[in-house]
Amino acid sequence: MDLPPLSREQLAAVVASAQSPTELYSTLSEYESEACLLSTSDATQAELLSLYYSTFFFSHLLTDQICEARLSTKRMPQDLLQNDPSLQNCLNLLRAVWQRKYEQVYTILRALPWSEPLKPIVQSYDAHFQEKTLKELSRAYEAIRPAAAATYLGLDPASVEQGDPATMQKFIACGWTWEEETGLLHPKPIIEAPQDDTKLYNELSEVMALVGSRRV
Amino acid sequence: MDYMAPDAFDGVPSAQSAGPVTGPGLVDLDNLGVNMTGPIVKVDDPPKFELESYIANYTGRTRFNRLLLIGTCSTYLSVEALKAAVAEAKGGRDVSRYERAVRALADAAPNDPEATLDTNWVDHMKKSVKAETDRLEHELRGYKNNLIKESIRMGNEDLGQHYNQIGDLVSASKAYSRMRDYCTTPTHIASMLFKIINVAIERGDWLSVQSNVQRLRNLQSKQEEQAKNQPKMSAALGLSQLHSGSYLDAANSFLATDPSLGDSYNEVLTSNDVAVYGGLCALASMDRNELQRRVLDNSTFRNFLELEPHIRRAISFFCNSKFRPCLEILEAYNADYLLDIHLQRHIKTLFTRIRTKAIQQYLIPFSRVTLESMTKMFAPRVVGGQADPTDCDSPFVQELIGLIQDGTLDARIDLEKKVLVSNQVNLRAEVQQSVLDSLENYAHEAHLRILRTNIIRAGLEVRADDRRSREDRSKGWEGYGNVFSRGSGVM
Amino acid sequence: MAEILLHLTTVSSQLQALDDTSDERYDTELRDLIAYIKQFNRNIDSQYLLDNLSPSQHTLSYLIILNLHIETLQNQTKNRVPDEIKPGNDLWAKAVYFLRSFDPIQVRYAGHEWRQLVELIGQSAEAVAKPFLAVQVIREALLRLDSSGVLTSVHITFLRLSLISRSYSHALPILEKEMFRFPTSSGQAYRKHIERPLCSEDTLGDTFISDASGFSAKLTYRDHTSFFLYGAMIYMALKYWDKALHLLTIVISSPVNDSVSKIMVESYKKWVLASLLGHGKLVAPPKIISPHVLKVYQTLSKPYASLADAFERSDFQRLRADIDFGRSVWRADNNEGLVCQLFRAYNTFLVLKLGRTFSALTTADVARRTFTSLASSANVEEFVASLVMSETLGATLVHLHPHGSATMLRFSAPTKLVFNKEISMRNRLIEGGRALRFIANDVDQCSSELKLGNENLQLLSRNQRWSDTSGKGGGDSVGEADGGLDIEEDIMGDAT
Repeated sequence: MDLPPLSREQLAAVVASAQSPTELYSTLSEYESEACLLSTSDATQAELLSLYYSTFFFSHLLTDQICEARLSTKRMPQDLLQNDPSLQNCLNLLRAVWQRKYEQVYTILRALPWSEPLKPIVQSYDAHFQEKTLKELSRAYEAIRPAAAATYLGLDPASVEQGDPATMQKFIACGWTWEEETGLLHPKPIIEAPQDDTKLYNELSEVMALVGSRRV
Repeated sequence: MDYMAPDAFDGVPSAQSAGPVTGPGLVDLDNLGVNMTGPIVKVDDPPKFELESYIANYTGRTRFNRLLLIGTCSTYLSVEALKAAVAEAKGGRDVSRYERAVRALADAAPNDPEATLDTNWVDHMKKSVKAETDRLEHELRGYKNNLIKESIRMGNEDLGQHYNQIGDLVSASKAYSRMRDYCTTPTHIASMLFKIINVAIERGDWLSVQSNVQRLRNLQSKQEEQAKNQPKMSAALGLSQLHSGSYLDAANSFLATDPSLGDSYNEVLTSNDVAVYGGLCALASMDRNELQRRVLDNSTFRNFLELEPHIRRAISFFCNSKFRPCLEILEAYNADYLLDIHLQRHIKTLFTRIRTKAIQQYLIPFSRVTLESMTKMFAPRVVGGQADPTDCDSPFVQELIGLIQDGTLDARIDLEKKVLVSNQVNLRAEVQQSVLDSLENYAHEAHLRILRTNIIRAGLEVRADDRRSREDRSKGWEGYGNVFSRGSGVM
Repeated sequence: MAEILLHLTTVSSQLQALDDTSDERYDTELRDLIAYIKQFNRNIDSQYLLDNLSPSQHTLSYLIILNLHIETLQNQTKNRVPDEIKPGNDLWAKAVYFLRSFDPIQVRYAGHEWRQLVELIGQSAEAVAKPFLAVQVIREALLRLDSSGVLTSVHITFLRLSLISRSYSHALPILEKEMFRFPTSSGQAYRKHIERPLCSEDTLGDTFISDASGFSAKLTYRDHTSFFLYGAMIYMALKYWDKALHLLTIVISSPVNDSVSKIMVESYKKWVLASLLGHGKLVAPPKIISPHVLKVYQTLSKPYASLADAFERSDFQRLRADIDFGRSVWRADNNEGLVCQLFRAYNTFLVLKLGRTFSALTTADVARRTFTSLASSANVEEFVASLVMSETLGATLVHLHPHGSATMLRFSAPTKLVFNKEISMRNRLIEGGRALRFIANDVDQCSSELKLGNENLQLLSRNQRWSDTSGKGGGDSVGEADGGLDIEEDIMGDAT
């Protein structure tokens, strides 16, 4: 309950000490009330707010709460959102992620200027997004052209086209196979462990018994 | 009753149906609602029957109607049929028919000598008809004055017959109906009802056919009398059911028709017709088992089937899952059916149903079937003509898509491997799904009802005037009746 | 002052020690304590007391004194929301701290004061245009209090604040507790016979929140309908269509006496949109709605019906025309956002429907069959890919080698779509089972309350010609009704 007051140092500490994105998100959301009390007209406070809200925004993305991330941008002070370059970047990123414009997402993450304290979290989101997309690709595609896969994953399509061994190695490392003749990659879906059937069966019958007894 | 064109089969381009009339002699059945084929059907293929012997099977006004239909629809038989129609009309007393037949013939063969109107005959006949009408009306008035029941009945009958002959079917129907009060025996009533039914059939007034058949059924008459009437009744009923699109009912009526019908009902239909109509309706509405049991193994209907062996063969092929030959037979007789006065409007629907049923039955044993083999089976002509018969846009694939979308086929199309995959039932998943669904529904419904009870209990129903809430509260319990509709449970 | 403080703290510590003793004893002590505090005059040093009391241990004392303090301030400044209570200031902090840590048992004795404080927090947050600040505080206060399914006016205030501050997901912990009841009427005779002390652990929200307890303002029909409408709006903002539909169903099927309220009509319009967005078609309206009410809805929401019709018939041209044509209507009804989402939902459901006809087809075929009027096939491919990757569509994509850039879309078997993961199935079942148990419980309770209610007893005595004058007869009937508890199975009989 008694949080250390919000400051640049505290933010950095929170980001550094968080064990998981979920933890980061929940700690940061505790600060939202406090942030609400800060004023945007004061230059230092505005700077702190910009940093806080950007970090908070990324903590949403890292926990895949895209919808909630969008709502958080609606809750933050709108004048700050309109004028702050970091937050504007966040908005652009949000739009690209929302619309699943993969190329744009990587461009925004990598090419736009992000402030120094934000850089670590931007990079970790880059990695997170890439990994998430890889999982989705493995499930969604049974065969995919390397160039398309590269675009999804933010790799250089041109070099993949030429059969760049380093990139190919990456795909093969995830269990994908490369078919020389067709020039296609065959992704391997990540299979989840099967469930214990008897347990499910028991629960089912229990629930059905309950329903049955109520529907005389 | 008036909204029906007076004599549908005669097709006088009356005011009601004047819309899309494109030529004289049009067979106008639009007013009956279930029109599948559009205003005019042109049949270019030669039919299998021979006109002369075909028409010889019929008697009465249906001869002309059938001839005119064949003459206007078949390009092959046009002139021959229309000439026969002209002759037929000239042998009768119906002037408008004669005029229509001549007009139709003039369209088909303008140079034919018979294509010009015999005005002498027309004038003479008009005069004679007028005189006859006056005479009969006069006689009837006389009988009425004398109050002799039997004479009045016969007077009306004569008048009805006369109107029927000259093609004034509405008046004929009225005259026959007037006989009712003067009938003294069940036999009289039966004969009157049959007359009404026949006129109604010619008019295409199928509701009237059905209700009068019903009256005939309820008639208290002798056993042998009933047995004598049964075949005609069943056939007439079947005809009306065919026209109202209830093919299974029609099949049942035709199947129930006694073979003693013979040629006794030739003013409406022949035993051959019963075989064809009944067979096609059964094919369109029954599954393989029923067809075998109720049609092929039916000893009374076999008598009819023997007259039309092609129908019998088609049904046997269907029962043996040989759908291609079955459909081929039916296609071969398509021209005949299209030139039949009762089948013309329905044959397309019947064919579609038979075909759909064939496709369904064909798929039953397979979990997947190549589109190619299906195309060969059901659309052989497409195979020859088109570059890729199993393409998404080919008519047969489109047909399958339609059947899947309307739920007729429980299968999906794989355009990659070009196969039709039947949907596998996953019992486990279905049970799970249904458990979840009932769970969810129950919880929601229970929530809704508890809340409703509590809202009423707390006096929080929506009301126009808030001030009344207090008074209403005292009688709030009556509302529980709605929630717990089994009031006794609460008491 | 110190003396008063001493008294207050000793009482509290005695109470702490009393933990194991009977509820009745605890009850008397607390009532005495309230009597003691209430006799203070207004000029005690409340600041001093507040600084020295702990909200979690001395909840009752703290709450009453805090309210006294605020009241004094309000009288001095002639302002409902004095500056001291505004966010960031001392009193705000105190109030927030209190609401986060009060003792839920003690507070039952001071419902009025508790509600006053909560409402003031809401008002002051709104006064500085930061409603978000109040949302989290009130949520925690409500969760601490645990009203167990009873709707209070505070719930409604809370949802309204969540809506205006756009903190939708913050409202979920409250919304997910289904609301069943309303503050009980103290007029029911049987209550006297079963009453337990307020402080008892077994006394649930449905008992301690009565119309006299002060935890809720007097509710009207507008309140409960707006609560469920607000809830539905929150769910819709989060795109939980099924949950939103359920709440909207509650509103549109609310019992009516003689007229339909505006809130219900608004809800019906949203219900139409939510069912299109969530199911791609109009779901069947609950049977519980009477036909004439349904008629009223339909006449008052014609543009929506036309929209739904175009959507269901997959008539894109008409859908677009309808959406354009009705702009002013959607805007006036505040449904513009929902209507805009129809386009995407329309396309999504089209592709989903394809899965029922085809088991595999190329994306070019998809483009040709469904989006004739729409964009390039590259766009369609991108759209389809996004549906597959987000698992909206149970299918896989295959890039084909010889066919240039063609992509094959392979739909999974229809039954596989939902249940390829048994684990999610299990979770849903367990969740459903839990909800069912909860509801079953409530059905039982509701039915026994009905049986014990004044109305039913009157009816019983009338039917059986029991004389009302014999005091014994009344007592017996309670016992009677209580004995026949198997009736609840009948009650939901017509739910099937």
